[in-house]
Amino acid sequence: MTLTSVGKGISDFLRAGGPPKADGPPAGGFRQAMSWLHTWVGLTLGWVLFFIFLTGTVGYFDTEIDRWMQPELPQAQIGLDSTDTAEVLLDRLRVEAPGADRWFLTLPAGRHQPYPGIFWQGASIKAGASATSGELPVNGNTGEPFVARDTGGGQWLYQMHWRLHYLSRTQADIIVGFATMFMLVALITGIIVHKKIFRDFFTFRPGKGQRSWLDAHNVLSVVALPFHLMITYSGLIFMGFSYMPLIVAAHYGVDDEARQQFISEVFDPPGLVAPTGESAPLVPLDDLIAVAEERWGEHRIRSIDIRHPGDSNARIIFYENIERRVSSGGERLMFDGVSGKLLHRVPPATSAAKGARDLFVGLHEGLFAPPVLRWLFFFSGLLGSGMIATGLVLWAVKRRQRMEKTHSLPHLGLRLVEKLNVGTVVGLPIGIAAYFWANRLLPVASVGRADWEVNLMFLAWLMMLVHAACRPNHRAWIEQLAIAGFAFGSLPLLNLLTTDRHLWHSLAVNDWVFVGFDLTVLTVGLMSGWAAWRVWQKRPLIDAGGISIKQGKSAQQLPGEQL
Amino acid sequence: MESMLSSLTEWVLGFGGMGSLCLSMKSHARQIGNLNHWTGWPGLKWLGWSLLAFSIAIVVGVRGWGPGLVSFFGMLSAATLLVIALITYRPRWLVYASLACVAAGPILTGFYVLL
Repeated sequence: MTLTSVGKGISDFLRAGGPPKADGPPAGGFRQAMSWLHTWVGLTLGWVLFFIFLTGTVGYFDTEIDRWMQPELPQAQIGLDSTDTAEVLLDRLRVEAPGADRWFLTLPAGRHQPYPGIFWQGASIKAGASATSGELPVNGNTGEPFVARDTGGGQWLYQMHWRLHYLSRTQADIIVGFATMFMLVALITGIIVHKKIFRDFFTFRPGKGQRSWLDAHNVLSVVALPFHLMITYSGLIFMGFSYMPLIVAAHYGVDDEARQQFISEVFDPPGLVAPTGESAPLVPLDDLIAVAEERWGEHRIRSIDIRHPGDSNARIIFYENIERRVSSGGERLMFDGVSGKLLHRVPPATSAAKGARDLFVGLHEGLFAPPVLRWLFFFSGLLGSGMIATGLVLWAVKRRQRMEKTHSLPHLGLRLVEKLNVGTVVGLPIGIAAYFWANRLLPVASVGRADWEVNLMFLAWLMMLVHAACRPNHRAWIEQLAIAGFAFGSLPLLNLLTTDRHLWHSLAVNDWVFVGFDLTVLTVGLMSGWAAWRVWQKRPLIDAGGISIKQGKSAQQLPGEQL
Repeated sequence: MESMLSSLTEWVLGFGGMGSLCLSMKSHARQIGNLNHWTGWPGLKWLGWSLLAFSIAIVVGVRGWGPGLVSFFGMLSAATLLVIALITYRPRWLVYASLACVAAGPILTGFYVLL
């Protein structure tokens, strides 16, 4: 491809959409202007948004995926006695992390923390620590650390939706920030543009090409509109400190230290003090646990945070479990680490502003959600992903239909969008399936295993983008949907062949996390296969180099009709 | 178990409410064919809105404002999507399913309150 043809392609691309003469000038009124904005704000970062939405949606089951991806671990140890578990964890910390600045004990309080665990910072290697800082899941019954395969698990998959994995924190923040802002604009302009939001509330007209795609896009958007608005707005709130740094800077200053002071004032409990350097024995935790459980109820201590253990200024902070309220964060109790005296009772939110922020963060994360509600969050996230996917496809379908009417050839922009659509809407899920395949197939002892799982996910996605670029558009949809069908549908079989925790076993021992994972991927596989079959049925009669030639009504049926 | 019953109740009330609202619309009543004696009847609109209001009252009463409203909107999305699927592909089933839900909603609520 020569440079001039690329240049021409780009100019065609812009002409086809830019404040275009063909679409009628946007001067035609407020709604047209909003319609133009909706189209272009939605398209520009649409594929990034699809990535953010889909990986975030999968993230509602992060802990469950973690567990599927470490099949060596036993069933959850939720409900162990708090006092015994804390003792076991403390013993383990004394072995692994002597001389540390901070010991952190995680109790198996519920879904988010199925196993006890420890975390430490600033340990002394000289005193025999295994590392200066570290994190270990610990078997609450034996006190031994769990040994399981190295994996990023559901956590990495979930963190991708704002960390974008390969990018630095700053780069990711900027991209995700713009994408989220675009999403919010797309939602608001979408509401303005949608003329018959109530009259067409229940309307879906299948088999009518562009009209059907618009209906599908509207239905997916309107049906879960409260969720879409909430998730987008709260996504912005989440990153407020990064996106509006000047507000903090104005009050605290611009250097890192000032910023740290702000963060610690907002998030740390009051009354933390520097160590004195004089050693003093740590108070036994039993009595403190009794005080906390008296106040919060049994098994409702989420974690115990010990600052400067063994110092005369040691402080111990107890965190309340978070499953009872929507807002993120629970109450905290701060004790003197030597005398065991209760020093502070810190409410979940220390100010109205913090309370509002915590509410949005809590809504976004959905950590409070019991199983049924968790599924609804997941389902709403899928609707959001579907909303973005249908919007992207609609953009292409509309232009292809117009192009067919005028018997012109598709311009570069249209072809690019069509290929990115297949390669992302189906290619990304295939990448996620590859992530799970890699988890089972990479040798357990291989070096950099966790990183390679993710690399394989992105390589698979890249391959799908290349595949989409090479194949006629309609063929690409069929083939990739079939690949997705196979990749997801056969995961339970792969699990059967590579572990002893297959579906029958999971059903027999009531291991609902494994049952849920296997059945969910099986369902996704079957639906992809079914979609592949439907698109195949509706393939255009003549299919040459991505140009479908109108043949009766069939050319109205567009790629991925049944997605 | 208790939370399953309350989830089911919310879903049934949501489906009954959304189903009634859908059937109260003339454009959708036409999709039903010769069963449309009651469909398109404006009373259905009132019935639909009352069921939704009732559902909010129940869910907020049971779960509190925060989790209650989150659950309400989630359940309503799930119920509405099924209403749309039925009116598109099996319009008559929507009539039967809505009738069943309108009848079952108050009964389930009764169960829930009594238990």
